[in-house]
Amino acid sequence: MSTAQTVAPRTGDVVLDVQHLSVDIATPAGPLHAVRDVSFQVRRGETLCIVGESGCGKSITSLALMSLLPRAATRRAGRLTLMGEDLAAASARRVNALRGDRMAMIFQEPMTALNPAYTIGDQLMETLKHHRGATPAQASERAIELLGKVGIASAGERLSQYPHQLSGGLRQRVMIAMALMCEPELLIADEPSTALDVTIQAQILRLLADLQKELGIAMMLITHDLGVVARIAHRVAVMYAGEVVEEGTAEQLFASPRHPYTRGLLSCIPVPGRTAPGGRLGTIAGTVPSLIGEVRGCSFRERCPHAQPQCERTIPMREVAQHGWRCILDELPA
Amino acid sequence: MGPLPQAASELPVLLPAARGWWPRIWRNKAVTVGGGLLLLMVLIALLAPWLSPHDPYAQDLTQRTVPPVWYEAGSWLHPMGTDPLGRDYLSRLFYGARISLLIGLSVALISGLIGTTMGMLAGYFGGKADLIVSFLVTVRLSMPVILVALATVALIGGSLWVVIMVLGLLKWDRFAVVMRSATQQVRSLDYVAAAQAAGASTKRVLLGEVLPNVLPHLIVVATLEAASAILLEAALSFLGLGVQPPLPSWGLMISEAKVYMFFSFWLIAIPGSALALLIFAINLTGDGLRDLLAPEGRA
Amino acid sequence: MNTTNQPHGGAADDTGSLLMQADHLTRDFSVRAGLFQPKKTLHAVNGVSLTLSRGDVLGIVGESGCGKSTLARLLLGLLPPSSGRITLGGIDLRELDRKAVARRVQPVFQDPYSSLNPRRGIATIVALPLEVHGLGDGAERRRQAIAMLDRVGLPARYADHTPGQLSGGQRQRVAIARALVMHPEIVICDEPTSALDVSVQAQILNLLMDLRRELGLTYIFISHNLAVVEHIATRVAVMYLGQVVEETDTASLFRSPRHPYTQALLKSVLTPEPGLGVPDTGLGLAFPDPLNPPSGCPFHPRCPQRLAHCDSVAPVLTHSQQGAVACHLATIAVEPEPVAAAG
Repeated sequence: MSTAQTVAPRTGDVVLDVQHLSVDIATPAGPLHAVRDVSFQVRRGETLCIVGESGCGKSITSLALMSLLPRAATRRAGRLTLMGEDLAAASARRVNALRGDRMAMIFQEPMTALNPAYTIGDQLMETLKHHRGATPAQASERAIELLGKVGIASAGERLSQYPHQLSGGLRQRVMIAMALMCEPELLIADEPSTALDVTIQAQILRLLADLQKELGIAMMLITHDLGVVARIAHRVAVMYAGEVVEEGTAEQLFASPRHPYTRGLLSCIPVPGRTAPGGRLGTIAGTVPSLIGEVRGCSFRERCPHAQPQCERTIPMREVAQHGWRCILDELPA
Repeated sequence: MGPLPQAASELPVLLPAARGWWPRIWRNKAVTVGGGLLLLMVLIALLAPWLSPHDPYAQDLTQRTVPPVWYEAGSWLHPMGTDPLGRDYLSRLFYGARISLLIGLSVALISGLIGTTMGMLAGYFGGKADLIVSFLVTVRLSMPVILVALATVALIGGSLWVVIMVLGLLKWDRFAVVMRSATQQVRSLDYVAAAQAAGASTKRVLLGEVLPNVLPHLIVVATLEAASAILLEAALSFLGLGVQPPLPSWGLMISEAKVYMFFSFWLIAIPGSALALLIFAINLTGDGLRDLLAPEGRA
Repeated sequence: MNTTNQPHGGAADDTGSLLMQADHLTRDFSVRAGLFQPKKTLHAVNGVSLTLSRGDVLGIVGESGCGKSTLARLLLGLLPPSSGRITLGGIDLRELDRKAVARRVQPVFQDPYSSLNPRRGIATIVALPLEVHGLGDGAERRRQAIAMLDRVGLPARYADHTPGQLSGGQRQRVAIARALVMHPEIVICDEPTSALDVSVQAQILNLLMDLRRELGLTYIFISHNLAVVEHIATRVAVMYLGQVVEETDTASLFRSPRHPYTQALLKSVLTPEPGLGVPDTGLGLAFPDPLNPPSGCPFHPRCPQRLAHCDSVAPVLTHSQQGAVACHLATIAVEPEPVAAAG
């Protein structure tokens, strides 16, 4: 039995609104434009997947939203709001109050994301106590409730266990429970299943999808795995060299990709039952351009089979029926 | 020849690597300052016979305890003054550098050889080798170096070579411990397995694959131990257990000057400062070298 | 059988002849479970038997703790087995000189960042096997190394770069060049593309397949990525907690997997097909602990089709014309329904 995702029209309230987000990182060789003019929205009850390869800026984007960027990074945004509240203008104190409470994040490495010196219970209850001033009894009750929700049996006993006593899959479930303690509006998951075994990965993703349906939270999931994207995303944003190059529903993207990079990426993946075994996989020639110093025009043009002289100028996002892409072509030639 | 794969020119996106190591050295301030200072002292030590205005052993009882040139009573004849036996202090300072540097170098070399061999074998083979080496390190750590030096000198008398042998044979423990853990880390990496899979002998793997990659750790420990050896020699000579007079060891000079501490402070200050400066230079250089030697990181 | 997977007929055209065989291999490690706990035995590989024929690409799939990496080291001759034996061309590995084994079996490891000595130029790295075997002089070795690097797509100007100056995909090419420089018969690839981006992975896989055709190589391809294995392998062995639970040709495995674990693994493959959601693998919360393997069948705590005696009687890997499987269900003479590949 599978949890088929019905493509819902975008009716939910906008939870996260990001417009023209840019992040520059200072390096000895000049500023590195890690994130360039990125815009997207995440609505209540919707999962937005940000997908891209290493160096595309997807993780930096999530850190920028959580105000967890390294010192050397500067963030600029036209608009950066959570439930209408301006995150960019918020004081450090207010950002701290929002983090963990209204917006929560799950990280990639379950082995290192939990503090080995404290019990699971301590770490779970800490969020609630800190943000909502809950008593230990209340926090404990909520922790047990959430551990049950994420599928952990005998939750009461688990509270007094230490992280090293749990497997990777269980730790990830605990992390999810921790993120949900204060009923956040937005959940950001950065490669939540990448470090896990394949069978556990499926379980965790299924859990996230079920939780979203039940709690109606807005979820932003960052991954490099297009299979994950296809199965769990409502909307997808493909990032390349710091920009969003294509955005749309999962159906739109997989059935009719409009950007050459997206199509190139899809052709690289072997699909059992579809790609001929032993045949050549599609490839994308060339490499990602340097993002240090001035960057102009389409960053994919060196590698694009359809590049033209116009591609050296800045390319705006075009949009048709909620499917946006950053390319001069109306649609890709067959 | 079959079809070539398409993307032959992938280059890392991040910082371009600086080719050529001279610019890298120049940018590393620790190495330029520390190394420069150290180089200066090495040159002084090597060229001591030509740089010294006088014979460091020549006594002139008419010129006893003459202050350095920046005092009223001083003169340019003896720029750093003279010691209580009328020997030129500047010359003794220069010759003293030879002793300190010789100690530092030879002790670091001897103890380094012993400790690194033990550490690498323990780290690479584990099991019994590890047990034996750990046991030896524990035994060694239970022995206070100064007392052993004392006992040895009491038995066979003190001299420069006794100091070198005693310190060299005792100060290998940190080498062993550090190199053992460094080797253990490197040992688990795939390129060691690849070398073994290629049929390389254990010796080839240890010397060709492991050693070059644990070198930064070796350098750091070597500089620390060299500095520490120099200080220990100074201490031993101060106690009369090390280098014997009339050799111009800086420690000995300090010892001979201690009764004059309140009257002719410069007798102590000059060798003391020289010692401090040398230790500083060595540590600074070692620090910088370690950063320099770290291989270019992951892309 | 896929004809595209057959190497070109060449001089050594005894395709299908037995190249390597493993019989009841085990490998144990002594582990301390805690600071004051007594030592426990970890059965990393617990009775594995495999055959490898010339021209095969044998895919070995499994998750963490299944022992596939330990198995790779056993087959390379880097670790001696605790019991059982490995034969290469009919001769026991232990009786062969290590160098003789090295000439015939070479590895490509997973992590492109730790599989190359960071202090050497890549031409030197690739020439290492030649140097160790004393083949040719310095100049000749360098020439051969550069030729092999060119073959894997790294032109001569990279010859003196250090690994730190290369990207992950380029480093993996160097690792492949090093493995092939002595023209071995068998290349054991331990997750060679798992640490690479998708587009780079495709290039490396294409390269591996091209080289296999050109050089008549035989691969053992270890991976947790079933889609990749389905694409590249001719036969697949599924491992769980140190044992092979199913082994057959690729098409049969993906069309009709017989072991419940294989079925769960296949259901977990998330193909990029939207609208299908995330399937329920039906495995529950239990996780495999190699230090405390379950009694009887190692998979029984998580098995949705568990029978009464699965917790006391261990199934044996039984061979038939459909392939090999270690499951009590298979001994019940009903052929299970074929399972659709992408749940």
